[in-house]
Amino acid sequence: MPRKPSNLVYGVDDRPPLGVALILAIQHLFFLGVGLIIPVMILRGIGAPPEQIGSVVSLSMIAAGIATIIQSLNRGPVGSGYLCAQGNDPTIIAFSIMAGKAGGLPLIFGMTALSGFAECLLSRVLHRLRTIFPAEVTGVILAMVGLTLLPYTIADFFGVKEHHGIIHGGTTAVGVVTLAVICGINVWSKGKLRFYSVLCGVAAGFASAWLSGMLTDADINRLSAAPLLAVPDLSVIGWSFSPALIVPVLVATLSSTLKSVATITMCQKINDADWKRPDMENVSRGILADGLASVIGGALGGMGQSLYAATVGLSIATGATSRIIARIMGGMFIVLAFLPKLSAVYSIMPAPVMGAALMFVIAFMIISGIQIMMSRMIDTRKTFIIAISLMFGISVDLFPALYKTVHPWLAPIFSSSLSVTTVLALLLNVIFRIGIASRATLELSPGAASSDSIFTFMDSQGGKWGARREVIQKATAALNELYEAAQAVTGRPTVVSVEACFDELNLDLAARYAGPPLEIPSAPPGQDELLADERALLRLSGFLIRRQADKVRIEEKEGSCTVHLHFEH
Amino acid sequence: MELNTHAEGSALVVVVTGRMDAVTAQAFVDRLREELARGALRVVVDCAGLEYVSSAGLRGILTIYKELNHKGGTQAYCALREQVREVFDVSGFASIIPIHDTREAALTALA
Repeated sequence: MPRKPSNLVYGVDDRPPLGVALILAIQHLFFLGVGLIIPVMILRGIGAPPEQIGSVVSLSMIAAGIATIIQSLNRGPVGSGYLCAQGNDPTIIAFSIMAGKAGGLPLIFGMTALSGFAECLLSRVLHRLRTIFPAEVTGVILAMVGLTLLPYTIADFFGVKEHHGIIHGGTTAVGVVTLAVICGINVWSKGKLRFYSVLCGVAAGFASAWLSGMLTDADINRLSAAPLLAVPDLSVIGWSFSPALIVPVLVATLSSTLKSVATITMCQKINDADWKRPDMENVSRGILADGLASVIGGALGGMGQSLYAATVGLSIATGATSRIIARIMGGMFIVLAFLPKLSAVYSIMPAPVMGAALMFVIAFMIISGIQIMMSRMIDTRKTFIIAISLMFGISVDLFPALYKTVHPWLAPIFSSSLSVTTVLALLLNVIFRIGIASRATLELSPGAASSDSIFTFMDSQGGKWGARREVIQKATAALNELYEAAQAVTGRPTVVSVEACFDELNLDLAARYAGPPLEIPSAPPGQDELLADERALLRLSGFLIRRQADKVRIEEKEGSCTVHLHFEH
Repeated sequence: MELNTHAEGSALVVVVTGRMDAVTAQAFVDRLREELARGALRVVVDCAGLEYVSSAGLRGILTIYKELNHKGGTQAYCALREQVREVFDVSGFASIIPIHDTREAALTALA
């Protein structure tokens, strides 16, 4: 059972009181609701009539609610068991519009279901692909997920869309009030108020929007004109397929799946104080649920679904990651699909309020990504993997026209900074693995330079292997100690040959020298002994080696001694 | 390894940077013996820059500890990094040698 980190009040296995869970779920719904822009964008893009838009949005909400609940299942073959909402994702925009223009809604739904099915198949082989998802790849994808949202959040925060590219003071003021209240409560409040920081900020944002005249009577009328109860029109549902769209769909699926792998990894990390590496079996189950979400989306007449990293960011910020919240949130979203009056709140939410709230959660996503990236040693290879994929990813947003002329099949990759970063990070990781061997040797000649050689060798190998820094530090200390002890126990300058082997779970060092075996005592020598007896220093050396390594084994053969050191990684 | 010394009040502050092992421990012992010969009786060893200490380094530290005690002096080590602190702890040195978190705390303790 993973150890709950100290910053969490309600961990994934905890059951918060119902009132608290309900309000936390409502906060998550704000972010889930942001995704509803995407089916609206797609349907407007293909010229669908407004009634159809309303129905598809409601059906998407039902699909998202069901999928969120399935993702939170922690028993059985499906679901990661974490609080992570499923909702509409920007990666589906490109192929959905292509499909909609070619074959209308049925083709969108059919290809969406196909995308989900492909992801389900991918989930079955994921646990074998651990080497293509090292920390630097997962971390850079996560950081980019946060950064990818910036164009929308900044534009909303400053009101530039509505005011023709100019920063609007009134809009910005509303954004600042919202962000200030959310952050202020999160940082300085005591007790349970921290849970409700987003709700309080959004309420303050609505209030300041009303006071500044941004929220108008027309908006309020729209809210009151919406019917209380409405059933979505199921006649929009139908399915068709087109082989011509298979490649763009698969490219989008791959990109979205990789983002989901990174998101589930973030969920694992924030719920485990001793997190060391992704649990790929759990990731597999989570991706199966993610794929199923799109199958359900397509089947129900909703759009493609994917994991929402923003809700994970919110759960870190509020210190509540209980899966109960996910189930309540899913249920509420399904109910909201039938209550247009309540879901109309999304449509009148002032843009700077949403922008500010998104900024708040993006902060946690970016930092989480950076923490995962830096959880392992970084060498030149990893520097390039991270920085090059980030640079090209960011270029998509900096220069929007740059990639417009790529081949239509490649368009889904270049349609977003996230896809470019994801694909590049994975490709570069595979390429840069060339030349990294899991074994390395070092010959230590007697002399003052050997200590430097040991430290340089271990540092360099640690970086190549992407090992955990604390394990490399212990191994380096033990190896240096061993080298010094070999000189002392033989009483003459002695060559020590070292072989190091690494895999994700084990670091093994074997150091061989010609001479008698070392003593590896279980207790250190006393201080008087240490000053009086030369051999006591050797015993101290052996004791330190024993304490630093997880296992020590000595092998003697024909006058040679090999000391095997094993470190759990 | 680099050793820099300066006086702070009536204490001698020795700033250690780098690694203290079989190669460099003797240099530490020799340098501090020089300072002791010059009359230093209150010594603070600032280990903020000390990256690593081996058993040979520990013996050098113990040698100076005994010699200074013998002269009636006092000493303290401060700002140990996590890995170095761990070595002091498991070897039992932490219960022999006075250790403080900061240089200020060490200087105050010796005053």
